[in-house]
Amino acid sequence: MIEFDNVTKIYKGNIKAVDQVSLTVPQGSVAVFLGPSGCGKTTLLRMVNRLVPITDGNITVNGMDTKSLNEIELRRKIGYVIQSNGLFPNMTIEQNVTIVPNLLGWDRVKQRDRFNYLMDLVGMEPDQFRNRYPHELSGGQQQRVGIARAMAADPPVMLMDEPFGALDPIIRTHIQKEFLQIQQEVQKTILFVSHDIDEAIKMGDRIAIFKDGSLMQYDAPTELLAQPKNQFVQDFVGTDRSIKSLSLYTVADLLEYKKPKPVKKSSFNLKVDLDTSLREAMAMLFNETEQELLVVDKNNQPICEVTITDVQQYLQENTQTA
Amino acid sequence: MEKTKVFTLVFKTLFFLLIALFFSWGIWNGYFSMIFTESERFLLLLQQHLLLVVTSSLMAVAVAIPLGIFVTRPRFAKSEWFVLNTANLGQTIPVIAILAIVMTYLGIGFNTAVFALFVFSLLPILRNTVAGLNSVDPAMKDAAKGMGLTPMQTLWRIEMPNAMFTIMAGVRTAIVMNIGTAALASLVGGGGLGDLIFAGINLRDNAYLFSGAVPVTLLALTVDGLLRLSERIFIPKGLQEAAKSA
Amino acid sequence: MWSVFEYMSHNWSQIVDLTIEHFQLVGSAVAIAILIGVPIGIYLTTNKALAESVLQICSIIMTIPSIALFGLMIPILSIINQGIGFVPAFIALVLYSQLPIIRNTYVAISDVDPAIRDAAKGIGMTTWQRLMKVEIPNAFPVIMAGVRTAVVLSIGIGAIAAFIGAGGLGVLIDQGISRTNRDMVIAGAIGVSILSIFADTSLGFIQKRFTPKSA
Ligand SMILES: Nc1ncnc2c1ncn2[C@@H]1O[C@H](COP(=O)(O)OP(=O)(O)O)[C@@H](O)[C@H]1O
Ligand SMILES: [Mg+2]
Repeated sequence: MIEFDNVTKIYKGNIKAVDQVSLTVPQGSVAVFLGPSGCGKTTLLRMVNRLVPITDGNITVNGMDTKSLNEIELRRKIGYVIQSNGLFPNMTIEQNVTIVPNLLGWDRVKQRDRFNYLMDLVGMEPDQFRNRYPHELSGGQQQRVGIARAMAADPPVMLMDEPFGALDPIIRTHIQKEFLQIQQEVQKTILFVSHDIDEAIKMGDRIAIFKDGSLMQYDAPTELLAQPKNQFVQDFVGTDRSIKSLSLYTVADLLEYKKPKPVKKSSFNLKVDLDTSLREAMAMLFNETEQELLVVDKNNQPICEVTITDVQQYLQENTQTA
Repeated sequence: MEKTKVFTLVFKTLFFLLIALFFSWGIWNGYFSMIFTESERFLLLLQQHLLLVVTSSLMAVAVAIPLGIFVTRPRFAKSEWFVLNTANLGQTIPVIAILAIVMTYLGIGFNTAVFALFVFSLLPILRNTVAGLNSVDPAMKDAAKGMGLTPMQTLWRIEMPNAMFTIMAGVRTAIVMNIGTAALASLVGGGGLGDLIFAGINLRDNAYLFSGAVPVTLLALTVDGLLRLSERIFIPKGLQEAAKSA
Repeated sequence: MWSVFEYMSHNWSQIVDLTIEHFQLVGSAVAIAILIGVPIGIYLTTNKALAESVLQICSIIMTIPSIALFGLMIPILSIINQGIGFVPAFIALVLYSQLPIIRNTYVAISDVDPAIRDAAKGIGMTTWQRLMKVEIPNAFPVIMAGVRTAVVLSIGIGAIAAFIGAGGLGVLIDQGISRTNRDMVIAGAIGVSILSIFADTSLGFIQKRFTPKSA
């Protein structure tokens, strides 16, 4: 658990980068810091591992005041991932990943086991990459190694500053999905900085929106989309926020709410499974001439059909409360 | 396309022919004979020359690299401007002037020559150390710090290896220039192969000139080559490959 | 220290003459080096393979110690009775200046933004017009930096050339050493240092003035 208690940062020259921010990130959840460039997200994040000294207020990590800890030890217990992966070009991938365990004096076997485990976790073949160097990897691979490295000493807390910001959209979407799967397995407490509302909705259990260093709203994505607290938040999430909110729900959610229509047609061009997000389903319906989607279960057996009208109704009744 | 390649080949061949011509002309006239007839003196001067270079270079490395590290630490950032500008200014002062000034204070002899060569070698190493350390990607240093590396660990594991390419280039430049400059040590009574060259100039003796100038040149070229090779050992493999593919 | 000033004021006209001599040697050598090096650098942008070997040979020449190069030129130039004096010094300075001038010209012209080059082609400039109106002006600051390096280098090496009778401020150092005249040596050292710093600063100023603000 991470608690921010009235945290303020004033840089030299009286620049107030963070203004009395208080929020709590529960154990094992992902909180996304969202807001336009320069609103203080990075500053707030870097105060957690004390790369930026706190001007006023307190940050506690799992009940311990960060100020009371030795900063080197504090940092070794907190994973840190940055946008420009920051891999060390002079070290092999294995040396990069195991640098903190190495500094902590783990024995070789343990280091190697950890490397193998982490590389599997981020979906890379350990033996294939062990002795390669960072420059031989693609951007997406480098970022995966960056994540593996941050998790090397199994820190309970991770700080991620726009970790996927430099990747092209297709790879970014892919790695976001993978990262959520990893998080399901490792259950870290994660602070994730982003300036992209779509990414925030996808990744965050909760989203904190900032403006000029002040916290505007801190809520679950559904709440944020449904009930923006003020004009700034409303503008930031955008006028298409109802459509954005569709990515929070799956076909299964829709079926829970609405009794499925039995299958009428004999052949369908479009098939979706229960885990498909409603946003994707919607997109498919818009892009094709078909009127219906066939929903199938895990064994590819048809369950029911869904139309645009179904999605629309669901949308209106579940998200348009604001 | 073919034409440019042929042209290149012709050009290279001409260059090597010229060198070959030069050497055969020297040998034909017996200009290298001194190396063999007075081999003891020659070897002594060669040994002196090497001693001048090695002593002053080691001293320069031992002072310039730590100084470069020191001024690039954030805490001493203010000293960097001063040190770099002094180094730049120092680089502009001709080596012969440094030698002359050192001589007027330290008198003549081996020590004077070593000290002047040391001062002269300091600057390229210092400059490259600072440039190398400053060119290390700040994001990388930030990542290291964020992972809990101490400033010392960041320096030795991250900054130095990544700056090694530039630092080594500075050391190589300094040593190679040092070899040539050591030939001027003769002027301040420091010995070395310069003795033969200056004797040759004063006596208009081609044998002295050849026996001094050719070995100094070959020494400089050989050491340059050897140091380039040794960079492959000292520079981390990942960086060499990155440099190649970039 | 005082005695050095005394020496300088007593021998003021000689020092001025030597400075002019020094300046003439360096000036004429670098001027010729520019006339040779810039066209070569430009030509090399059209022949990458040759560029590599030319630059390699230039850096080999650069590695030859100056006093050794003088030493080697005495026997060669003695064939035409010019073993010592202005000629070998001049040739050596031209040779040493080639690396910085050719390399910087080559790099600068190769690095001219392809978009600018395309635009020039697009408005119908000939190759020659492009070179004179677009490429050289854009490459100018970098070429200038090469010239600056060459000048500073030449001033220092020119001082050593006094030992083979080329004149210039090195004469004070040469004669001062043989006559063990300390003031004379220091006057030479200071003179040549000031000349070098002055040339470096003023060429740096020109270089900056011609560098586009945006770059
Ligand atoms: N080291 C610093 N010194 C002074 N001001 C800074 C420093 N770092 C950031 N700032 C300022 O603090 C504000 C917040 O910056 P930052 O936390 O980087 O924002 P974000 O990550 O949201 O883009 C900006 O106005 C920025 O200019
Ligand atoms: Mg930021």
